[in-house]
Amino acid sequence: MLININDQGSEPLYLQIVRQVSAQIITGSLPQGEPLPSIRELARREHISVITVQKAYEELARQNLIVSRRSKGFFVADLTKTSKADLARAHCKESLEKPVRDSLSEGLDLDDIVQIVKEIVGEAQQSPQAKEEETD
Amino acid sequence: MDTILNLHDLICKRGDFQLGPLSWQLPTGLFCCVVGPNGAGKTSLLQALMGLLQVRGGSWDIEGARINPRQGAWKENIGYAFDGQIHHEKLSVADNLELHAGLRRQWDKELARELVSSFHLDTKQIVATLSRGQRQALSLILALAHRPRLLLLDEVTNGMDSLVRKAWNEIIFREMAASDMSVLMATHLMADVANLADKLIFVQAGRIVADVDKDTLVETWRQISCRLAGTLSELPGTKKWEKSGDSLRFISSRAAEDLQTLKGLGASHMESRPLSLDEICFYTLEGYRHV
Repeated sequence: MLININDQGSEPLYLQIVRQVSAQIITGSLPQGEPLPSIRELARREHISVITVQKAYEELARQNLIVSRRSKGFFVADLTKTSKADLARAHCKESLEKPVRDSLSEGLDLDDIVQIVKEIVGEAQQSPQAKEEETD
Repeated sequence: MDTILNLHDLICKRGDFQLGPLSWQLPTGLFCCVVGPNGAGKTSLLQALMGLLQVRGGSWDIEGARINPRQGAWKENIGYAFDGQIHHEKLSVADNLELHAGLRRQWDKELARELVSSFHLDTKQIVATLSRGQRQALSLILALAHRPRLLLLDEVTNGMDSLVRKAWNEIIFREMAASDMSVLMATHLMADVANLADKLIFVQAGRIVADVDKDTLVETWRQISCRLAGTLSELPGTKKWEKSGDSLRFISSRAAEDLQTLKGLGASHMESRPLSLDEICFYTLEGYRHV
């Protein structure tokens, strides 16, 4: 499990861990049953406090994304597709909040923003295929 | 979390200097840095916890057991290293290790050997001829090799080069992971705080004036900028308030709340940048200068 802690932004460190780990769980790159690094190991690797990692793991456990097994550590929980989609929607709203607000203050309206989102989605749906063709 | 250390209104004296009253707890298994200006009482706090200062009031517990400073058995659970001080200057590294092994019932020879090799020390060398960093390394080995529950350190990374410092970081991590050891370390070096600390206490004029998680501290102190129409009077607890047209910039000691306030007021283009630990410590201690 790799995560990237960024202390330049305003997002609290423990929420960065929560968001990145849950994204990896939703996309399946952290499969069900996979063990997470120990609290102390992750804290050391990322130069953050064990208190922060503990808080993040507690939050992930509260959201039923990971489970703790006594004295064995933390493991990825079993997730249904619906809850994965709910989580993805919550992530999406979180990530879009700041740019959308900034764009509104720069004079764009709902239609402009929706149009831009459509363009982004269009590009994203094309690009993986384009890449595959290149490598063929 | 269990508590390794619990101070109950502890008051100690060193000459005219009074430490305390101190009421404070350290959860087990954490690395806590003690920061504060010179003369604030960082060293006195560590010495008090080793039973070296005269107790004038209050008491302290280690792992729930009340300490009687006159009875020495509890010191088996403590390790301490003070800025490279080694008792036997004219003896070799090996002789110093041997002497300590005789003093400590739980001395682990194998661990001592491992630590000597991790720090690349030559056991035949006479202590007086060691470099500053090597002395620090030896004092740490003498503090660690009996596997203490609580490690008290005073400025032990001064004079360490980056290789020794790296070895030290790895050793401390390994020992804390292996045994749930707790560490209390006085330091002026913010690199130590950044690399090692889980939490910090700020000491000023013999008192513990603040006790915070490191990451919380880093997250709550931010320089915030945004664009905001209209006037806004200075938010409480902020510093370096600057407003020019609709641009606003200031230093916040509670970033999440201030960002929320600005969002509520319709601010846009909010950015926040972290301050260095040096700046944060400066601003935090500035608030307690007149205590």
